[in-house]
Amino acid sequence: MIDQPQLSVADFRQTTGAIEAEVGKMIVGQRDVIRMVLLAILAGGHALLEGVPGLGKTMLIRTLSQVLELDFSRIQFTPDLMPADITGTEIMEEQGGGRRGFRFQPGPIFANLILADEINRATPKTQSAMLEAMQEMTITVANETYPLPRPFFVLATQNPLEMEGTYPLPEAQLDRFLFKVDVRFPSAEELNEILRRTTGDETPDPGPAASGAQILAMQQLARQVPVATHVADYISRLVVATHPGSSPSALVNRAVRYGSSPRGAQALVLGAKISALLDGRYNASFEDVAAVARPALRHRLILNFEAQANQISPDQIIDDLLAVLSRD
Amino acid sequence: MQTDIGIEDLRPYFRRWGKRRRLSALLLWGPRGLQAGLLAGVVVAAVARFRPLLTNDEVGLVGMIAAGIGLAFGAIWALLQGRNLDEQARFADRAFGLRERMVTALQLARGQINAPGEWQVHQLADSVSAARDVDEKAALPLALNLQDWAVILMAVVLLAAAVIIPNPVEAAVREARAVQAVVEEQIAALEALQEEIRADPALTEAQQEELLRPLAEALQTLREGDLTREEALAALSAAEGELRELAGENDTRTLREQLAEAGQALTGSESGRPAAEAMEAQDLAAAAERLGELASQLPGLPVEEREALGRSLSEMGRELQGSDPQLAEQLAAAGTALQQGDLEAAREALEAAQATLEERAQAGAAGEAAQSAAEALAEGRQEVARAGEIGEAPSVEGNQPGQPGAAGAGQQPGQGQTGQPGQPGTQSGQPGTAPGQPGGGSQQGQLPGGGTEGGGHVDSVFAPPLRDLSGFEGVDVELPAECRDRPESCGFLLDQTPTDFTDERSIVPYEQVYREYASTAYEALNEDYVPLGMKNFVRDYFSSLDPGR
Repeated sequence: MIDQPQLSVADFRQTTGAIEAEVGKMIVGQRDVIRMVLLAILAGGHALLEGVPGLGKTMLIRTLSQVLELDFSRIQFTPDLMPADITGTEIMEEQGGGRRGFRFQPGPIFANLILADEINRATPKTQSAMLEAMQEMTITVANETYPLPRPFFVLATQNPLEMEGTYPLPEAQLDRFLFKVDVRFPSAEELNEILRRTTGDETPDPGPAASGAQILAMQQLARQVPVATHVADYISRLVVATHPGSSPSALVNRAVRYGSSPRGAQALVLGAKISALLDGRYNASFEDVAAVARPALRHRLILNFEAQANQISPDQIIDDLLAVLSRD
Repeated sequence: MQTDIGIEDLRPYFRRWGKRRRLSALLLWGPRGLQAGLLAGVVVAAVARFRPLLTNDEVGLVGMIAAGIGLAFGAIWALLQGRNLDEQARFADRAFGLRERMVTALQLARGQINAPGEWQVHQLADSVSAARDVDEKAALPLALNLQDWAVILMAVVLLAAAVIIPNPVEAAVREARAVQAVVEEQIAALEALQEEIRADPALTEAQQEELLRPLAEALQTLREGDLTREEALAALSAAEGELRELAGENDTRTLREQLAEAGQALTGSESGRPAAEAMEAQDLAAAAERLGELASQLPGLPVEEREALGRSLSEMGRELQGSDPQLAEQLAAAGTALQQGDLEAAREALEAAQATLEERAQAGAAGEAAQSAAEALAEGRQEVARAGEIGEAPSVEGNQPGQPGAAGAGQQPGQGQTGQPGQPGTQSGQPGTAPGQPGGGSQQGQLPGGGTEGGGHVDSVFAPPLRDLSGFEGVDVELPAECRDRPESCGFLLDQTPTDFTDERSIVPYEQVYREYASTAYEALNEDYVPLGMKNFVRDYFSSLDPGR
């Protein structure tokens, strides 16, 4: 008799189902967005949500923090936001006996779930303060390194329309987001439901569905999902094919200036594994890869002028790649 | 959770799916292979309609063979599917929507990828469970592709049409093959002829080389392969022409005949009788030998005998002046010397005459060999000309002017004056011996179209004799000198021509000339090789000239 894993696939599915259900109490529709953000969290990665104002990005993240019972910090990025406003700073204080000393005052980044709202409004200097935190999960202030609490997720939002006074995220920082999730405008039916829920006297109250410890266990379980060699090979070929020159996709060769980094491949593998678990399987499949290809790669493709002029989107390129790339 | 599960639990499914897959593939690839073979046959049939490659029967056979090969390849391809376990697993994942469960299970079992032990068991159990739910009959239906069968039907119809509908170029295919077969025969015949010439002790090396050269050139051309009838005929004709030229250059027949006649003069002399007998027998080598013996016997002959011999030799010299001036001069010199009593000079002259006769004998041997080879080539050429045309040419018998039954046998060119069938003679119907050609020998039998009834044959190359046309600006014909003395030897032409030969010309009525020429031409069209496109041209030409129109 083999011991059951501490967390079974059924538990995994049940927990994620519960999380999605609780979030669904607050967020109408946007199932794909919720699924992808959850995937990013379960993969231990960060997500960038892009959408016009008013689509519920901030509410989604705040709801997630409630459902997951995680420490939550919201940082509103503005042009005058300084790095120390995020990371924290040394402050002088009376230490008794007339002595004074410095004490580190942790910033809002010291939380499990960080909402970096309108991240592209902060200056590059402030944005770069997030780099170490997102990659190393530590903060260094005055030569002192402080570990961030686990689990640690940065869920950032940005508005694609208002470009005045914004600082587009540099490629290095974009690459650190596991997924970039596009938040679409709701349908008429969804809008009706939003109106019903938000203009009545009933206020939905999502309850907790998982703890931080459970999230960490789920992350560990997800990493155990085996990926067959030809699926892993497909992922590698897919990422290589995002680079122009030798890509089987004519669209890539025509529209892409620079393709995905190896982090894109990592995002695809982790995303595929969790997608398989959410589907109740014990192995990743091509379909799982395809399901996470758009959010995993769209922010990693740097398009050339021709693509921008012709309004070719990264999603179109990814779809084309998935269509032309052989699975054999 | 089932824990005693292993990869072996998946094998029965793989086997079952493999069978189904092969059966399904057989129904797909079998017809497609058949289709490909039939379409290849249709392409061959289409090409065979424009190029002389295959007969209709062969097109059908090729189509069937191609279809069989295509079907076999399709079946083999189908039956080879899914023999490898990895490939089977991948196919199952793809065909049954198993989301890479089978491949992952296989790779986990083989240790190609890693996962915790219990995870492997879960994955395998999940895979077996998914395999159990597979409905391979629904996923791999045994259905015939109607589109494929429609194409097959169309290809079969096209192929059948190609076999049934007569192919305009099929005659050319048969002809080319017949020509090729005859050419092969001619190659063997020419090689045998070469051996014969090499083994002929009567020929010197130089003569052999001279005779072998045209044969070797003809052989080289014939061996090149893929020859058209015209090319083969040209090669044989060229060799034949050269050999006939060689035969003409070394023709000693006139000399032998003249010598036989002139040798009668020696019969009056006892010592010259052996030589006279050899000359009468037209044996030049023996005659030369007898002359040599005569030269050595001169001192022992009585004076009267020597004088008589001298007169005989002088007379011989005069008679041979027209046929061989050199020999005539030598014999005359011997005769004069004997009459003058100069034995030494007479001996020398006789020995010179002996040497000349030996030379003539040697040349005669070469000429005969050349003549024999040329005749063999002519026969070969005839065979090439007839190859593949048996019964093909439209018959014009009885409908053309000058044909037997229309104008009578005696009106046929080359036939005897008295209405007897034409005499083939020794030169009958051979090219290069048309009337009027110098050294052609007897006029009789050299006229074109000697007539098959007379045992001769029609030349493959129509070469009408040159005749003067009465009342027109005709062609001057040089008749052989013998026509003056023996007009009957020149055939009906002279007999029917109102001429006294004072201008050495002959006149023939237009109707007669037309009849004879047209008859010969139609006969040639029937029996000889004339390019297809040219046959109508020839008929139209003679129709336009017909005086009865």
